[in-house]
Amino acid sequence: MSSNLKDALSLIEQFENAMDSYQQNFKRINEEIIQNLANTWKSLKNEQIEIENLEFVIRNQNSEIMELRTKLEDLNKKIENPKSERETLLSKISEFKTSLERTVDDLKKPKFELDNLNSQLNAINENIGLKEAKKLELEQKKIENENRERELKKNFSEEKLNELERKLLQLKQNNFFTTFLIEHSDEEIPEVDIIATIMSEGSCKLGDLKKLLDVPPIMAVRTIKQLAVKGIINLDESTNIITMP
Amino acid sequence: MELKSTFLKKLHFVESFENRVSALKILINKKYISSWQLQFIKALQKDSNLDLKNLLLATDIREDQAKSLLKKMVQLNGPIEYDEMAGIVTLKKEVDF
Repeated sequence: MSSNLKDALSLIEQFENAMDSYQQNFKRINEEIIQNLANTWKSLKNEQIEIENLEFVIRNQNSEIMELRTKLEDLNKKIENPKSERETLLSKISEFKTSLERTVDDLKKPKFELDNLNSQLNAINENIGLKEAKKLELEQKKIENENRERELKKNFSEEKLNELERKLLQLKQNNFFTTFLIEHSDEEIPEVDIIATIMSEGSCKLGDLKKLLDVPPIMAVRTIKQLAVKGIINLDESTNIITMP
Repeated sequence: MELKSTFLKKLHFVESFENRVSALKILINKKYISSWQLQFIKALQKDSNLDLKNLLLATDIREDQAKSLLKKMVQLNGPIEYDEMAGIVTLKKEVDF
């Protein structure tokens, strides 16, 4: 029995010790819990303050966002105006471009006309140059012609013509009866023309002489041959060349 | 130019006429032609008062032809005298062929 008591006492002691340790631990833990609670409270309090601050910030930010939205809307509205103005300006630019192209085209026309006129002017100037050269040439020719005319007048004057007239008259007077027969015979005498032509030319081809006479070719040949037979003219039968004896 | 042309034409005519005169003389001298006018002219004699009727008999030419020929030659101032009333013909210069 004593061992059992001893064991019980020991167990009680152990229990007591355990209880004491438990109690101390419990107390420590409680204190820690209280401390933790106090800390937690403080933390929560701080969190609450923080949250309130954050809420304040959020409210402020929301307010700012609102303001910004309002500003954005205003800006969007403001942007719309420039957009419209931009469209208007683009349209005007397009109009101006068209107008510019038209103006450039319009400017090209007078330039083309100017070029054309310049070309015509050049042609006219060239023509004037040619005409002036021609005029000079004509003036030169005029001077030459005047000189020639003077020379001709000197060489072929009325006086010279009268001299010829006198010579003819003298010829007719000196040969009155022969002249009379030439001019007043009842019949034409073709032989006179044949001989006169041979005398004038020195020699004639039968073919050429036929053409020069006013009688039919057959009659001309017959007459020429007859004159040759009579010895009035010479006719070379091989060459058909006629000469005076 | 016109004067030159006129002059040259005239010169050619004069030269041609000179040749024609020579040509006719050759033909007459060679007795190649013998027209009644030629016969009549040949029958005339220088400084002789010839009776036209005798001339007509010698040449066998009609009176009207001879008279017409003589009048024409007188009209052209030929070296011939013709008294139509008397019928006398006088040659004042030798015939030129």
